[in-house]
Amino acid sequence: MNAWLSLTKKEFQLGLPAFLIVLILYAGILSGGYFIGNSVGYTEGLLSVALGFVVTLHIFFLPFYLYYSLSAERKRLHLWLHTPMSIAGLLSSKIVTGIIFMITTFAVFVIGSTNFFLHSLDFFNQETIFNLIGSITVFVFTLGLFIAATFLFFWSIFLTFSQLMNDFISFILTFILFLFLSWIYGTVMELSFMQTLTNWGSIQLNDIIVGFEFDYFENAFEAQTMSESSIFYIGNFVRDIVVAAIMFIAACWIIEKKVEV
Amino acid sequence: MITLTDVSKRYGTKKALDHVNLELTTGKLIGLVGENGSGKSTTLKLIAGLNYPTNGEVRVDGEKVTRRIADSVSYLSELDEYYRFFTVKKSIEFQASQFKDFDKEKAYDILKFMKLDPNDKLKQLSKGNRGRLKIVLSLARNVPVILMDEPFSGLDPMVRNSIVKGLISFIDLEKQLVLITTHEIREVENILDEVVAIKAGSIIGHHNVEELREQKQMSIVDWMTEVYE
Repeated sequence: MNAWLSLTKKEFQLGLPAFLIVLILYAGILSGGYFIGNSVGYTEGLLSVALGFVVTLHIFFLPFYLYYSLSAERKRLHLWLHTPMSIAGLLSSKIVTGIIFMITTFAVFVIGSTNFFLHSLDFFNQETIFNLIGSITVFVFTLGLFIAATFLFFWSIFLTFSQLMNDFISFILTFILFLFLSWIYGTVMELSFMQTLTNWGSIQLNDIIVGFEFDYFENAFEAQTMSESSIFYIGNFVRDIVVAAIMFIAACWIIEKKVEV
Repeated sequence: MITLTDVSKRYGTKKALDHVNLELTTGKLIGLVGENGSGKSTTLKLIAGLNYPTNGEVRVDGEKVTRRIADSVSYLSELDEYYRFFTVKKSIEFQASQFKDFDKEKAYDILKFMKLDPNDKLKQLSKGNRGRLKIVLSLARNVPVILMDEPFSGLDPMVRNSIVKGLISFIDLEKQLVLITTHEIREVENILDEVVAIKAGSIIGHHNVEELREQKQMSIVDWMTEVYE
């Protein structure tokens, strides 16, 4: 455990630039939205658009972080892989660090935007905003983790290919494999058998905010939330966790058995 | 003890090692010599579990080599790549956290011998000093096998000799086997017990250095010149 904690401490230092890049990017997008919105008298509207963009980008934070960290590691595989620690230990250390950075970045903007909207938009009450934050957090983090596991799986394949051919051809082959496996996965998930198997544990989500509607008149501006109810299946969530776990285990196996220095 | 049995290694179509059989015993400092691209680094990586043989088997103390052999093998790479945000001291602390057998006291002793400042940042170290740190990190482990790939390549010729001689005091020759690849043969000649010559992926000779000197009146360089021709 000490070895893993020490490794994780190193990962924080290694991945810090990726975290700072994202932090600066988000701050740039949000302040851009605020200042442009302010200059055209449409602050809430443009800031909401900027915030929506940042939240969408945040789904890709973990894959980006892993890409940054693993690219740095690729230059010194002889150091990274020369350890008695399992590949699962090495990768989990990166994932945990990435999640902590992801939460930190997310928290900064959630706190900031909550304060802003609570003070500037009177139709927002605490319950609405906490519901919104809760559903966005679950969505961003589950999807982010799933994409991160997918990235790790294909990165390990890319690394294996790159030992035999140059990076460009390895990337193209990996991308073709990604499209092919995605198509197979999509086809299998569409089967009525799979739908029956995974569409269980339905939760009716009433009036989830899916966006904002802004109307701008000559002298006034009106804002309201756009809500809709939808059904969420716990079975789909479990399926995604299982698939992500399979991809993570496969990535560990490939790196352990196929990747050479 | 290290055993390579009928080991071959290919990188795509390129053959790096060709049916190599080799047995190296504990308690010796062994030099693996040969020209560039002869298979020296590949041999070390195979023993370190960082490469896998295309054919044959590599064992360390009877255990089949996988990447997890890092538990009993210390490996110094020829590459000059580090975590540059570390200081010398942090590098030692990190290495100590990753390997149970890492002897911090010994590391600081070697560090002193190498005249390195623990507070120096790695990104500010000269190539030669980074090379010295690599030696510190690999020798401070109390493991049965130490593999060093070109450990002296970045060192100044003026200090190389004294560093090579000093290294002996940090190796436990009762319990450890040290395998070194190097081009600085004249400098290491006096400390080597055995020498293995490799050419185009094949072992072309394996000798006891003392016997070579006494029976054949040859230095390693003379012997290499003879076997290479």
